[in-house]
Amino acid sequence: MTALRQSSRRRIIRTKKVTYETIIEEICEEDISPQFLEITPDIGQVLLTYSSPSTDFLGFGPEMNTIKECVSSVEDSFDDFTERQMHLTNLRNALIELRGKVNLSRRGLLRTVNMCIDTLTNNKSESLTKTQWRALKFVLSRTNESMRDDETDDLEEILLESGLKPIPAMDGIADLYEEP
Amino acid sequence: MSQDIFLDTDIIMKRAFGDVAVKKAIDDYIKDANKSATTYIKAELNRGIIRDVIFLHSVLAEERDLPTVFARLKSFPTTERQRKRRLEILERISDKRQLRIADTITKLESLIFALSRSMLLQDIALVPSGTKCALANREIEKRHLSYSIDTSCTRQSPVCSVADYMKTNLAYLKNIDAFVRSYPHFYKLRRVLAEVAKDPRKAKGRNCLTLGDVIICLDSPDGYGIASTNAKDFEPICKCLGKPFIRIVL
Repeated sequence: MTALRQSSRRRIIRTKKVTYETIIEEICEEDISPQFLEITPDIGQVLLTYSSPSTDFLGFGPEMNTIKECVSSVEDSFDDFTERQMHLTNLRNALIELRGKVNLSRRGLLRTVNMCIDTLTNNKSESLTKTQWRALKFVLSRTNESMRDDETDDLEEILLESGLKPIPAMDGIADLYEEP
Repeated sequence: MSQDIFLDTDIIMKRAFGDVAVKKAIDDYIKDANKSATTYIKAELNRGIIRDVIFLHSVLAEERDLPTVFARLKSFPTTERQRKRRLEILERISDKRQLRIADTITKLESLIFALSRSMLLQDIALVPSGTKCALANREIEKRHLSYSIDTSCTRQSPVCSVADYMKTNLAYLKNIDAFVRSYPHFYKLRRVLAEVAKDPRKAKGRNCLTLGDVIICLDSPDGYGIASTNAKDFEPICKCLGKPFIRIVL
């Protein structure tokens, strides 16, 4: 039995078989400022090297191509709020399209796609920081058809650590927990 | 200098799961403060929302479609309040029943994972409760694709110190009892306070829930203002204990 709390932030990313620290060291030598790393080290490391969605989608080629195009469009126009809004909506719609074709036999993939959709629903485009966008991009880059559940947990942790909300919106539920 | 504030369960829940305007109002108020809370709140969260979402996941995992799940929940033997809560959570997660059961299950799994990562207490320093409630230390466990958490009361455990805690604070409890006499809505608390005054062991079990607000106030460190949206219950108790109360108006 695994107590979820016991897992560490600096776990091995199994798909790449390297630790966060290793990636951070590699990227550090490129162009991420120490200040940035200090704030979100495990998000910061992914930004430049793994920026496009995975190509490991044998069964969902067309959908993943659309998602890749949307990611590039957001990337190219991130500083323009209007463009960013439109391209992020396209990305969300592309993810919804992909979700419709995935079932529970690919549970890890389905959960990750839903996490990304919820992230885009809960976090408005104009409030999305570059760090958060990079975290989301990283998650998309690690998404593949045969994802294990623990890999999905790692990806959710990355989104949560960057301050995103990859969970369903439950606004107003708190009132139902008030003492009568 | 940042203000030191002690949060109650209600604020913590509303900050994450309140209406949009409520969340913003709370965040505006507390974002720059030094936030603290008692570990007793973890016990309340475990018994409340965390238990509800794990229960829902277990039902969804057994059924073939959402209509069947909703029908089952409607007739599930529980309190009306709990039933309403669970149905409402499922309505939200399933996007008003528009999603497939597969999507609803995976979304619920993401929510359970976030809750297991203390999403609700992320920037809050926890102060150990004088009750030493063991339920506060329980974590969500995952086995294969199912989740569980033991939310049963730990009154039988030698760790449970609520009786001793009440005994130590008996003078304060008597003050509270005398003070809240003029407030009719405290009738249940007064009944429990009277029982505990005679025998502190009566604070264990169900009565511990009724004493929740009192325990939260007793647990707050000196110098911290107790922040709550529930002024009706907290303000009189804080006054008796000589603790500053911060009313958060929404």
